[in-house]
Amino acid sequence: MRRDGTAPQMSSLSLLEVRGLDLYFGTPSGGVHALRNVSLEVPAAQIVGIVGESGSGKSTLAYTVMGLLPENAEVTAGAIFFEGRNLFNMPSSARRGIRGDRLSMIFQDPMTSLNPVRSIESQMIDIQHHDRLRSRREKRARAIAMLQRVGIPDPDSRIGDYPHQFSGGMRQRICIAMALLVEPALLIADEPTTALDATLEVQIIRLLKDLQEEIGCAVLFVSHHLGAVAELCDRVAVMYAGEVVEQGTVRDIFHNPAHPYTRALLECDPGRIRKRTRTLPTIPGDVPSLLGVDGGCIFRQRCPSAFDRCRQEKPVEYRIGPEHSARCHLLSEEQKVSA
Amino acid sequence: MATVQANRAEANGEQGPGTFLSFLRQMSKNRLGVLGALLVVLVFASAIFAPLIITHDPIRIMVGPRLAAPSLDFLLGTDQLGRDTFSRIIMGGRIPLLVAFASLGISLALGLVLGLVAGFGPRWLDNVLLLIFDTIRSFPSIIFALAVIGLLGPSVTSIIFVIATTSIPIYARVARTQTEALRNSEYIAAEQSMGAGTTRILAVHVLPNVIGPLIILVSMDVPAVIAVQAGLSFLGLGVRPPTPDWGAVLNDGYNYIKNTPWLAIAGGIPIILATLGFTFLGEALRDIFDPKLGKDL
Amino acid sequence: MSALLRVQDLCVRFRTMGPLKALATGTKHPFVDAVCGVSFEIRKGETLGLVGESGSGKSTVARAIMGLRPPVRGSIRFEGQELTGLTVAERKPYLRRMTMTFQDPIGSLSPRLTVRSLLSEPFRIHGLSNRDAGAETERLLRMVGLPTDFARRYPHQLSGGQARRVGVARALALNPDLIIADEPTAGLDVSVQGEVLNLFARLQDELGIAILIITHNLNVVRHITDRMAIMYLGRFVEIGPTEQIFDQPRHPYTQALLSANTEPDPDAVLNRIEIKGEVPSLMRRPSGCEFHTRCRYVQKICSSVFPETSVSPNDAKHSFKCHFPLEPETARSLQQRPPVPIGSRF
Ligand SMILES: Nc1ncnc2c1ncn2[C@@H]1O[C@H](COP(=O)(O)OP(=O)(O)O)[C@@H](O)[C@H]1O
Ligand SMILES: Nc1ncnc2c1ncn2[C@@H]1O[C@H](COP(=O)(O)OP(=O)(O)O)[C@@H](O)[C@H]1O
Ligand SMILES: [Mg+2]
Ligand SMILES: [Mg+2]
Repeated sequence: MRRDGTAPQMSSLSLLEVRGLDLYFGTPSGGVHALRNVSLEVPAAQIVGIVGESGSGKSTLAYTVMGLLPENAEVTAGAIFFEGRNLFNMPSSARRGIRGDRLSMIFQDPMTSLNPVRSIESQMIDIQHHDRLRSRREKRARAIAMLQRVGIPDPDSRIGDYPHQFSGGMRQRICIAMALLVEPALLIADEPTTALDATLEVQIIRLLKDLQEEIGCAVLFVSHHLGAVAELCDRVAVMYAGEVVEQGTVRDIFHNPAHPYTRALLECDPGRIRKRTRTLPTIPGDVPSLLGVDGGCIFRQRCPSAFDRCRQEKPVEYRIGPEHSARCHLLSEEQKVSA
Repeated sequence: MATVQANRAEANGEQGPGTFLSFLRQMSKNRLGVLGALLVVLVFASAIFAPLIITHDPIRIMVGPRLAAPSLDFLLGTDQLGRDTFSRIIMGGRIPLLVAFASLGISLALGLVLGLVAGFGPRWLDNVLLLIFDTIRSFPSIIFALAVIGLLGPSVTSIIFVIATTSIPIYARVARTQTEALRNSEYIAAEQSMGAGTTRILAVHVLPNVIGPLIILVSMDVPAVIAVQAGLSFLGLGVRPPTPDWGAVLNDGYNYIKNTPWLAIAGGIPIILATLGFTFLGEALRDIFDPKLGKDL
Repeated sequence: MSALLRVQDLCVRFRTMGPLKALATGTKHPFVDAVCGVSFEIRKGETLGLVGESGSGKSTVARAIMGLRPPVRGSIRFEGQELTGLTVAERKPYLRRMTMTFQDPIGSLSPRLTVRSLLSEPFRIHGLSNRDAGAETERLLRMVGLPTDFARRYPHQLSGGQARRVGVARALALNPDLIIADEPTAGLDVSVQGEVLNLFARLQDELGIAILIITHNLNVVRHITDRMAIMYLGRFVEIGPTEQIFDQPRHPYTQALLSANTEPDPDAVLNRIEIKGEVPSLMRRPSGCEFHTRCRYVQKICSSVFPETSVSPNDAKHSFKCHFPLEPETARSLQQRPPVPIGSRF
């Protein structure tokens, strides 16, 4: 095992690379340090999941990549490389050009990305504006084919309808259709199934997986639902209170978690527990305030195995496997023991 | 989700909707709001303590020469009847303020009650009340004002009556829309499920959430009412002379504007100050309590 | 044991358009039946789970029981006393004995009241305000495991899990016999979900309260309910002991619903039974068995004849509405294997 202060250097071919990102939200009572030294890679044609409780900064990370941050957000360190180019050094016109062409996004509430007063048809044709070669007719045909593909019955006649004429599940399918119509290199999905019933959730997950394979795009899948992430993703990053505490392949994370937080999170998922029990496991304590984050480990107040060092020093990223790393002092102890 | 909300609220330094301290803290950051509040306090203080401030009897004729220029004795000069303009202006603030607060107070109270009834009561009652509100609103208010003054004669009561009648529907509509939105909220259902009666729900759980936007509306309407009142006085439809009143002073000044412009200026300044003060204060209140209300209100 | 709450043939109807519009468009039946002939009972100290996809009418059942929405037909009896048709004043004494928590943890708390005022609302409403409000607040906060200094907070200063606890504390204030909890875990993180469910389990063990839990999350029902009912388009399609339904669902919809579950294990073998399409609109209720449009075992008779309630031969408490109920063998073969245990590193 190698002690390594920086993010593990993986293949140089990663589609998206987030390096050492630090982000503050300015608020009347001070800066909220919402992302701290976040590093993450999304290799081409892979599905990377981000899991964590609400408030852990998953959406903020997704919005930073999309370039859709609110006005009070400020990135103070780090870089984001997309297809080899640093997004922060790019003129804003070039960034807009990437959005909706190479990068697209779907949201928890489909209504936020659909315009309620325009028909699905005009929205789906408009979204292809980067495409100068196809005629309007061809674009419409592509839109209908895509709606068919995502499982909208009778798309020929329904394409003229407005968003409110569809059910919640249908709207999310339409959003997926719109996001994938432009054949992006990377699709960012922020909790796309959170508002849906389990029956619809599994349908949407299957759909995303199938479409991802067909189109060959990469997906950054944000969710707090462990089951969905386990089923869909190839790689997983676990976030807690603004930090990526552990990342690795989906099997690394679900079968061999290294960080106490990951373990705790997995253990308290009621979906895991088959036998009837009156006391489900929980994570005692609250998520810490991000208003003045000190130097120690961010999880120490709730960690069952915290010790002195956790209060004094922020854990660096330790490599555990070829693609598996975590930020926890226990890993350096273990290293000593095994050495 | 929910945790994020709490976190964000904590981060924004919010203390809860009711705490006076957080209100003061936010208010003190709004410079125009502070200026507005100061002006409003000044206008109020001068009206309340007018008898202590005035230097001469505002009604007595020929306390000095006619149309005298400002001097140490007559701070803002005198008018065509030799009355002290400064004293008339200080005393003259009482009527516009009385008119504004009486008429808007009545409108607020009645508008609120009618709005709550329309928004929370049965559908048919809502429809009936809306019809009445819209009928009143569609009636041209100038013609209505002239008709009322023609019938009742020019007096403070007529002006209050006209203003109250025309603003009640506006407030009632705002109150109704707010109430209707709250009616289907889960916390109202929760109260009903505990057995709370309609009166209790309206008084404790709806009213405090509806009144905010209305108070903001009121403070932003005060300048308009002051201007209307001054305008009616200016046209001779307000209070009878010799009662001191800003509009009346302005009217006197207007007749002699060529030779003695200070009289007109002195009549205009208090109206401008009061208007600005209430407008700034109203906008500040709106920004603090209801940023969603937008700038177009 | 006698039933604490008995609901029989409950029907709740919503208008879909105004009478004028219905006349103009020639719509003969401008209503939807959100709840359609639902019957069940809850005994003292029992936990019943009400499960179904969103829009199946679960919340409407709860609201009808609490008197927030008058039913068009049916009977709701609390300890034998008929509640339908009572005036607000006549109903009030029963609203002390059965209380409800609502879906939105923060939105169901009056936004301008502090936690202390929220917790004394039930006392004030029922004219018991002479009690020591401070002591009561502390007792209730302690009961749901919140620090007593939370009494001064406002709803928006609470996290979802904390607000949920305040909601439960308020429901407990007057020592009810029955709590109806509408989606108690909705909008909460998994770590917090466990806390809330443990709270309900503890309250039941300590206070013997009967609980009706409404949820679309099957993982919730499994641990804390004695019996569960599955709802589809406003009807109960199956009801019975929770463990038995998880082991041997008899209705194909129940089976599909149980299998529509993601597993927190990338290697899980998912014997998923996909349900085709979406829940049909209430305005176009299918004929016969209402699930036939999505059922994988559909036969000719299903689309024309409404299935009567049948009772399981091995357990009289387990009943379902299906012409071709699943045999126990078919149902059991779909059992998923237990998830791989989390590797132990420490
Ligand atoms: N516009 C904002 N202003 C201030 N704080 C914010 C803002 N947006 C998010 N935050 C804070 O940043 C943290 C991360 O939020 P978010 O990315 O939405 O979390 P997640 O998506 O994981 O639930 C939270 O503590 C949240 O309160
Ligand atoms: N106030 C209402 N007006 C009209 N239709 C309603 C109303 N409340 C619920 N419904 C309809 O009744 C059906 C059942 O709703 P609900 O009981 O909320 O379902 P659930 O709680 O199972 O998600 C839905 O189709 C919904 O559209
Ligand atoms: Mg989020
Ligand atoms: Mg519901």
